[in-house]
Amino acid sequence: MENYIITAVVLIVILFALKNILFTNVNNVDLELEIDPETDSSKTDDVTVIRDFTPRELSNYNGFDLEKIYIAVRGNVYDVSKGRQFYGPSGPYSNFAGHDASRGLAMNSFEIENLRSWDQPIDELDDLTEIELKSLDGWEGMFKGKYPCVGKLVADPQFSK
Amino acid sequence: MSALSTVILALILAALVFLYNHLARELKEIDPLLLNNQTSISETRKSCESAIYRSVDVPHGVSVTRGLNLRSGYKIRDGCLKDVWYCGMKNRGDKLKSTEIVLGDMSFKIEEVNYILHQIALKFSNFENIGIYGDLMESPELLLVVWSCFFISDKTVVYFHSKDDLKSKIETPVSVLVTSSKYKSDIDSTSFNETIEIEPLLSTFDKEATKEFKYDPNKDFHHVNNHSFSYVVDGNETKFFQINFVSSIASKLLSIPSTKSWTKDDNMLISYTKTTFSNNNIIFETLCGLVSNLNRIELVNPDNILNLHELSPLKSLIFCTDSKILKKLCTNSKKSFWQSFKLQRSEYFNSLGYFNTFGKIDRSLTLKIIYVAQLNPPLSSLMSNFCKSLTGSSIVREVYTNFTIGPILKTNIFDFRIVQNRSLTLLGVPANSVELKTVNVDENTNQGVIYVRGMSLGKSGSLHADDEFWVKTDIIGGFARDGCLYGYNK
Repeated sequence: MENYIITAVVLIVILFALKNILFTNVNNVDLELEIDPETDSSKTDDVTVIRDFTPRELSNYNGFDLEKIYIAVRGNVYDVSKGRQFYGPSGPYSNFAGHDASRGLAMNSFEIENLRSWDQPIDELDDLTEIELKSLDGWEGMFKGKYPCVGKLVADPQFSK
Repeated sequence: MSALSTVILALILAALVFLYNHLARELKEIDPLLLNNQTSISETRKSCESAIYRSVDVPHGVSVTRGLNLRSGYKIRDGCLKDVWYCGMKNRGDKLKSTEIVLGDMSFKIEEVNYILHQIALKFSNFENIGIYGDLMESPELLLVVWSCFFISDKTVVYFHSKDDLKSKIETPVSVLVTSSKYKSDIDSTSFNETIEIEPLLSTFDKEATKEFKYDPNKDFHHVNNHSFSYVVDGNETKFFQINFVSSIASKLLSIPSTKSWTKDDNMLISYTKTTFSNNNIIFETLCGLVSNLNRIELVNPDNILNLHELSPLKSLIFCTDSKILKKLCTNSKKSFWQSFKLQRSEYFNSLGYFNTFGKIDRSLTLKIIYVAQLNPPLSSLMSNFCKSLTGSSIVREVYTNFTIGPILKTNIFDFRIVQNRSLTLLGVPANSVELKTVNVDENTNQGVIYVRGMSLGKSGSLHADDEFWVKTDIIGGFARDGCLYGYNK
């Protein structure tokens, strides 16, 4: 008699364990949470929205005031945060951070004199020589290939000519 | 003795308890973590638009799949359609018999097809462009004319989808129309200088086999007819070029994981419902089959396959079909009580990611992969799991359009997830030859119209590409956090 009881108990336990395998319906994955941007937007926030920058707005993205480092080359603004060791504070090219670096790149000079500050109009680069423009072309190609373009540099009506 | 067996039993149980999590993970076909990150996402996006999505095989920073990556000297080139035939004609090894091409009732060895293609090329040598009218499922012989123009004579094929399209004004001049005797009554004889029926033409050729194919893959690829194909549907001509074909073939074949890759023993069965893109699909799939040196490529009219049991004589089968046909085949099969119980259990394990074949309806069925083109209504993930369990085969769901060669979206071959919200349909991730984005109606939703850009897109007057070459599709959907595109059922 005892044996029967033990066997029955064991069987019930086994059946209980196998219940999932024998009787459960198909497993569903809840994508509601995944597809709704409002519930969790951590991933979509990684993507930078392309927009226009005035020199004044751009000047904040120097890796010091704001963590991101942007520089402008020929009207396009590039996110160079990946190259923080070059463009970040105390890096060799830190002068370029948050500035329109076109003239500096064309003249192969990192000096602050070749850069316009945010309260000056955008540099039109009219007086560059052919050699300087060629050098700028090379640099622009490098930026296009290496860093994402996050927007355009537009004139600030308050400080334009 | 009994003490020893108790100890062993206890040890086994303990081992099972400790190893359960490890085994449960290892036995899955794919780690769910991988399914949660299926695309490469661009770093920037425009306002009111989603980021640009690509397959993880071709992440941002490298080019999307352009071509077959053939070696010529020290350089890599994309290849052309003639290379497809060159690959197809290559020896499959001494032990294997040559590829068999089955077009409806007719069966050929690839060398015999080669002879026929040369004969057809000779016959049409005086014409510049060749028009074709007829459905490839109903008259598969027309495929030979397409191949002949692609591989041998290097002429432009203009394919007319319907009777009304024959009258439409198109850019590419067509003087000769090849059709099947079934469609003779549809054709107005004044529109074309000459109309040729394919059946009497084929009967004039001898059944000879030849391996002769004049093409040097190291030199001749420079001089090919770039505009090789035009498809006329709804009065619009879409022009397709060599790169459209090679990029989509390469993106399809290179996206198959090595454990599932097509081998020389595999057989391919193609069967599509007539749609505006079915003829393009059939041509595309046969080209993929030729490049892969498959054992057999067969075109079957969907009316001739009534249930899954009819597929069982073919071993190791790659089945290219659409959602309508697959649904019909799977729901037509009758099951006993025991079979439906097994099927349900199989569905349960498949939905967890443990791929199994014990729910298979017919023991002799050896399907390897089923490629399903999504028609309306599309194959839902629940239905796909059911078909997967019933056929014991992996299923890849693909989305095609009228203006691309090959799919623009495909699901991961190992994707097992069943979407709980039945109003969402998993459409998949971008094919390797294209990139996609959604353009939203407003900023608060990720739902939008899909735009596509890439190598497999044809050119058409009705397609308007913007400055960055994006082309609008009629698909509405949204990218979820797993990187897959989901469509919304109305």
